[in-house]
Amino acid sequence: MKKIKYSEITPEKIYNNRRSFIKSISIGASSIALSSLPFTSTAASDKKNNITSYKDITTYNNYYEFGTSKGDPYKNSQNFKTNPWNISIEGEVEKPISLSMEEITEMFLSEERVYRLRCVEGWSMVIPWMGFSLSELLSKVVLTSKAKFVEFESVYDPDQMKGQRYPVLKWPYVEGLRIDEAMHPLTTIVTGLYNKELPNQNGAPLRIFIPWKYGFKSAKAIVKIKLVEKMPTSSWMRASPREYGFYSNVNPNVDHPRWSQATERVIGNDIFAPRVKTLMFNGYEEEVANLYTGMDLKKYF
Amino acid sequence: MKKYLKPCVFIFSLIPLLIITYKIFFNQLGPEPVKEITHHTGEWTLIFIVLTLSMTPLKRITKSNIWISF
Repeated sequence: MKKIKYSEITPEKIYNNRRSFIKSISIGASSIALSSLPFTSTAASDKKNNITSYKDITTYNNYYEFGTSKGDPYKNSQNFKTNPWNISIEGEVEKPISLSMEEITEMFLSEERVYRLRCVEGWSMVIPWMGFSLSELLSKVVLTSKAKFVEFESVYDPDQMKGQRYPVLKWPYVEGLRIDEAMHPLTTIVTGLYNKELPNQNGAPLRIFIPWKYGFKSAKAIVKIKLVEKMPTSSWMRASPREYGFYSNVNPNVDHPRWSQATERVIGNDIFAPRVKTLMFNGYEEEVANLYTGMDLKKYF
Repeated sequence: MKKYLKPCVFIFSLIPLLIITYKIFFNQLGPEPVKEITHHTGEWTLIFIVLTLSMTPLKRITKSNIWISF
């Protein structure tokens, strides 16, 4: 992977400013004069929605394949080979396909998508991902009527991923979605972040991101997407079914058995900043609540 | 000479405190601020314990009393 020099990284302030500039265009021409001034203060904006720094996003990771400490993925993933890489789409489809990473980047246009990531552990970041909707990828195959769920399988390579030499979880990492969740436009196939290639520690070369679910639902380094009839058992469900359910929607009203989910620690804020309230479906309630109408979210956590 | 050495040692010993104070007030603690503070203070405590405990052995090895003359 190409190493990114620190000097190449856009300072957060300029990056944020660029966005507020673009935002202001849609609000009205009158505000352009104000926001186009360099380094206008962003202090007035909501701290919770500030984009997390590139450094924090790429050095504070949960990626047990590379180790269980937050700094391990960055340390242990730098020599991970992501080329060549193939992703197969199989299971309940008319004709299974296998795509190389090159084919995927050619076929689908990645756009910037800024989403909040809420970890089940009680912290959050705001990440400018690059990616496209999973539904676009799934439109390349014809689903059979039995395709009720989607199962994501991450790579299994203990030679390169030292965390996989220990049975912390059942390897390879498996996650899943209901088909309507998978088809939702917010469900994103991620190929990059901060307008750059996806770093290894963030799930290169290709991962999924589901903004309204806890972070562990968003499997990294995916090699297989399988359409299935029965609800898949994810690695975390297998490890502790009492604590981690299939849905794992961000929900401040349903606590983890060992801690509260009502608030979150915003990564990047200083030590004096209070924890902020966690929002239902991580703030994407308007977009996704209709997927769960009539469902008891306490029971189907 | 000795008159100035002692205050100098005390002032230099405050550097770790200055570093962590700077980090606290300028949001330089990173994604895990509490961990950073506990590790920083803990590591420097251990360093100072080792330094102070090494004075008597140093006196014996070098056969000089300068180490414990404060």
